Amino acid sequence: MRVMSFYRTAIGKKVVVAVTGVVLFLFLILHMAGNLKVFAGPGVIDEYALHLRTIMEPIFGWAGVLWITRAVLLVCVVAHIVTVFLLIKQNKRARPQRYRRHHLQASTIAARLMQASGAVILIFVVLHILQFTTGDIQPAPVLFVEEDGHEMAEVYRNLHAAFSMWWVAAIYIFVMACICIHLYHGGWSFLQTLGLDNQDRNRGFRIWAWLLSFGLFVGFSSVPFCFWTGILPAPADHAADVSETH
Amino acid sequence: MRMILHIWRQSGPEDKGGFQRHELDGVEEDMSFLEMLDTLNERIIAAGDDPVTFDSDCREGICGACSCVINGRPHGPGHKSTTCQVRMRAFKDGDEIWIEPFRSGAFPIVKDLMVDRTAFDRIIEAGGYISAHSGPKPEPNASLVPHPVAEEAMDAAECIGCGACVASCPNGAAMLFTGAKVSHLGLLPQGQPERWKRARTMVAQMDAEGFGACTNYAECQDACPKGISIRFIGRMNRDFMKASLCEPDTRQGQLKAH
Repeated sequence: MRVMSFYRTAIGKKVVVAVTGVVLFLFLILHMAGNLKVFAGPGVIDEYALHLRTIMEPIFGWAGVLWITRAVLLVCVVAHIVTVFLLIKQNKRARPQRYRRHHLQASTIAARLMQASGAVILIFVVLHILQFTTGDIQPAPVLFVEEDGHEMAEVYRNLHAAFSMWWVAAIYIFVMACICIHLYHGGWSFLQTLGLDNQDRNRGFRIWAWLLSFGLFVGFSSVPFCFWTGILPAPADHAADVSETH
Repeated sequence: MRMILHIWRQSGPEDKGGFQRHELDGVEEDMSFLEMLDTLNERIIAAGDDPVTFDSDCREGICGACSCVINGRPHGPGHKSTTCQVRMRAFKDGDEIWIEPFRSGAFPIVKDLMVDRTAFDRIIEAGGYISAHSGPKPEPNASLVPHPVAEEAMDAAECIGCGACVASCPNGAAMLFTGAKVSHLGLLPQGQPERWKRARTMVAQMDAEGFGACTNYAECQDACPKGISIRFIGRMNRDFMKASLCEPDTRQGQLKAH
């Protein structure tokens, strides 16, 4: 009951947005670390994808941990978005009439673009899952069958097939820029919302948010960029790749 | 100087309102913004029309009565100043000036540039009392306050309740005001007995008044004539979280068991 009455307040909602945002932020750091394995060779990232499905397999079964993670992320995404909509509704009511000319002084471009960048990210996440997780909109999804009878995509081949098309790579890099500015505001904002901010650390928090968001942009964009420009080679025969890395 | 003024005129809360154009000659650069409006009103009255209604009281930047959004900025140009402290030298001859009331759903317009800010009074009322010794005057050094804490509490207590934070916030949030009010007693030993209750009741009243939710734009801190920092919003959030989720509501159960 206490939690519900907490959620009913504006600050309670802000805390929910902040905490779910942090979870998604941490996920993105892990996601980027996984992506960067593509530079270690075609076999490595495919092995990593297999590893994600076999973590703690004796306890949770095939892809059990992966599905638990997906469930947590889905709950966070839904809570983040629903709560933001409730706050937007409250804020619209609080400012029914606009100024003729509102001279904004202090807010950053990133802060003003949170709703727009968030909408771009949401659309992207749906398309991204349809492309690389389910393979529905990937032009020629490359699948292979695992020994246990589990079907799994070949990551490197799919990445190469997608990002060899310049416009796919360009869209990905554009969306990564949106994520970067969303996280620049979010990375500082959650510390302020959770009350961890104070005047001595505020500058440090801003720098941290900048480093983290820009780091994620560079890390994520490097993959489509390197496939597009041909820095990352086209995949050879899969079996040969695996034996090469061993 | 000659100024071209576009002033928001609204006959009452239900009226739709709109801008009215005035040209005013003979404005001196040493006039305060409110003196300029007084001059305008004298001419309007002489012409037999209805003068512009606006709030003002001390005219020395400490009462928080004057409001107005001047060219899209609450309290007009100038850092850490109220409308009464703005001098006409901040403008050039022939400038167009757009003057609007503070806009917020929780600050209904009374007339022209005057808004009803009693929502702030109700937030303060919701904070309630502090438990204070009512006998003979207590020994001043009985409650020791470290100097940095005293300074921090005074920084929060500087708030004059003018409402510029709400006016500048694109979300119409009153978190800087409420944060400052929750913090200045919450920091001091005298404010400790009711600290958690106060955080909850003031935040609840802030929501009930229909103010918006902070998205950390930090516009309020920039518009505040007293330069109150948004770190007090963080502090309020922290106190509110602890008050709502951790602190027990009552000690009833324990007392009964005893």
